[in-house]
Amino acid sequence: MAGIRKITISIDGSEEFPNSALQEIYTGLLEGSHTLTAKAYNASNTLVSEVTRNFTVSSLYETETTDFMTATSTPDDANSSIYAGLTNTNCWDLLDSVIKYFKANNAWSEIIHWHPMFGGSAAKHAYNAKDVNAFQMSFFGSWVFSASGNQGNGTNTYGSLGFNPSVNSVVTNAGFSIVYLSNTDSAGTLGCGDIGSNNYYMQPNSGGNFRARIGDLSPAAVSQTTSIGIYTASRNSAILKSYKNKIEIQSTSVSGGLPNLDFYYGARGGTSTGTYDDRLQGSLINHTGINPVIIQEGLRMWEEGLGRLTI
Amino acid sequence: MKAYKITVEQKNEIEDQKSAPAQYFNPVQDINGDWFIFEAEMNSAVKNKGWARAILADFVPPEPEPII
Repeated sequence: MAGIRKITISIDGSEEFPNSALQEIYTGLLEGSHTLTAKAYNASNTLVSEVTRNFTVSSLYETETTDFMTATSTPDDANSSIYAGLTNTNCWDLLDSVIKYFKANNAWSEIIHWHPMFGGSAAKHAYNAKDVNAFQMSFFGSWVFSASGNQGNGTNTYGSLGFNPSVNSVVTNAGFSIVYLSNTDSAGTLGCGDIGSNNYYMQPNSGGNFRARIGDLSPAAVSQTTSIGIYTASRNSAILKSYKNKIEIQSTSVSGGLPNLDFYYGARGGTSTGTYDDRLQGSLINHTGINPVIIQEGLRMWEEGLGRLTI
Repeated sequence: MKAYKITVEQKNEIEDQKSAPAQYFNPVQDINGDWFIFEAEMNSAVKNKGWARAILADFVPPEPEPII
């Protein structure tokens, strides 16, 4: 709950009245304009002085937290959310803590969009926590949405958010991250590419291997045993680095550029669109290549906080 | 895999149309060129467009493209 928790009144700057009943009255005082009145009475209980002050309580939440939770119709109250053990206010606090973490570590400004996939519907999963009015996701085909994330059907499903790597990013400082919450098939992919020298896509589990490309097709596949986890592909200059669960799993020199294509979620846009994904998915972020581990830690805080990822 | 076979006219009616908030129909062809949609899309078509629910039929996707 936003707002202030405690009000004290002092006389000559030294005497306070931390009266518990008074404090209780003001517990939960919400953001906005308020009026505080202090009255002094003599021994005859006659009013001898009265002081009134207007004051404003600012929200303790980041603006983006308020915007996102409002857009997803999540009230700031003590009712149970659709996430086990979490009230609605707990969800506000969780999102706010992640955004504050990103900001404190200079990563928020590097994030182009973040889709937390919060709530149980396409309309809620469509929202971008960086700016709820930008990069809203449209889901094509027969997806299934739940508090646990979203899942395509492996055949006709993909998401589009109007993100074009060559327009919205730069090849010398580019990256994107995805959270995979299940390990149900071997064909997951997202991004886009011309399957020439301009690519921007990731396959967290392609025949049991991880593969990411920002630029040409040279990076080799990396063997892994499960696709559950947090993945990041990050390119600075001519070096592409990939991370899983905050551990670097590949570093390789690359050339090529970014495709002038629509970035797909759950499929690959452009030439040879690849196989649609049928794996349960959580957060998606496009960001710069500067802070991949910070990005991954923020995603871990979010997904584990919701109780849908254990790594 | 099972899916709902639809006519070309039905495909033209729903293609690129919203099926629900933030969701769109995406009919796809099977290996024979017939058009299909899947569960959530059929549910929306029945609810919002008054379609009769088709019977589930076998859906064989076109030859998958190689993963590069």
